[in-house]
Amino acid sequence: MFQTDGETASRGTAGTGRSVAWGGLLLTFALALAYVESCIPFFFGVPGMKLGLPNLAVVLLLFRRNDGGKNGRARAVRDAAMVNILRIVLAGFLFGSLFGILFSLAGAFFSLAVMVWLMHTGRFGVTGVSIAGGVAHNAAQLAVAVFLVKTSGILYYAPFLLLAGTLTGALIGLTAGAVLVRIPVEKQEEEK
Amino acid sequence: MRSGGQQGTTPLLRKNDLLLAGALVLLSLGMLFLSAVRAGNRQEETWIRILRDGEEIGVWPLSADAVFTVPASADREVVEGRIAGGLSDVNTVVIENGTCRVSEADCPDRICVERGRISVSGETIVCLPHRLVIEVIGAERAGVDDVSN
Repeated sequence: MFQTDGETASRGTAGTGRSVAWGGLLLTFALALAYVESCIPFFFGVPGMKLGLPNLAVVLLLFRRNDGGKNGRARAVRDAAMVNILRIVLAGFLFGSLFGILFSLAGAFFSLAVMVWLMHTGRFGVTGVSIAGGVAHNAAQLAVAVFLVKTSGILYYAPFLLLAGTLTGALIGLTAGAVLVRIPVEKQEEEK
Repeated sequence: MRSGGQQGTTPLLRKNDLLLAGALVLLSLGMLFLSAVRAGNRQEETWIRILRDGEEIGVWPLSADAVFTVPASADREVVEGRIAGGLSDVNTVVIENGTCRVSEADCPDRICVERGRISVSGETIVCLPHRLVIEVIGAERAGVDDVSN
């Protein structure tokens, strides 16, 4: 599932196995964080407002392989996207609702797209990318909410969501950074 | 960053990150300030307006106590992820002492109930699963049909 290119998988390189292991580990990590998050009443009645703890796993995956080479980065993005989908669907069934899943997917994917884009510009650190991801997540969810209720009145929540996204994004970015410096950067084994 | 470079990982914090965070905080504070100014400008009588699926159900004065039950329309159970007992989707709205709140709801997240009381023009309670919006509006908007849209 993680990195299942026919040729590399059949060659059975160490990179493939490690990629699967990392994906599974971080997916489990994201689910554990989703559980913790579901226990913390943080939203203050603002729909779509969450701590975004599981995003820590996504940020970690995104930056872990960032040791250069287009191949490694593309794989990092693919792994992050995969963990993103799986953790939302699984966490949704475990702790949330089907409605929540559809809602979260919108936020998570816009957020990932923004983070990947900022990461590729190379102008921001882990914290900045994470902040942009948090804000993008909230913005996308609010946009979906406006579309759903067909009323622009709920844009009233925009400043709160913006502030919350910045704050939680910064916390997650700093945490991710603290973890990343303790994980050895994985070297590219197979560069075609 | 190219492979083999000395820059193995993306740096944790850059100057750009701080600029981004600062800009976002300033932006949100500015928006808060604007909405506070707008709310402060109208001190006249306020009303409660309830919209379901973007359509106005009704407008009630915030000064008169009232309790009513708003049903979510029955043809959306599947989208809301509610299969069993889907016909009972309701929110109970209470207006008392110049404030409005949702006292009970059978939506999955009950964020509308958690939201608590609203009373200032511009404040809203949202129940996304039921596509319900309850907002406080000033008198000039109560008469006109949905200026904001």
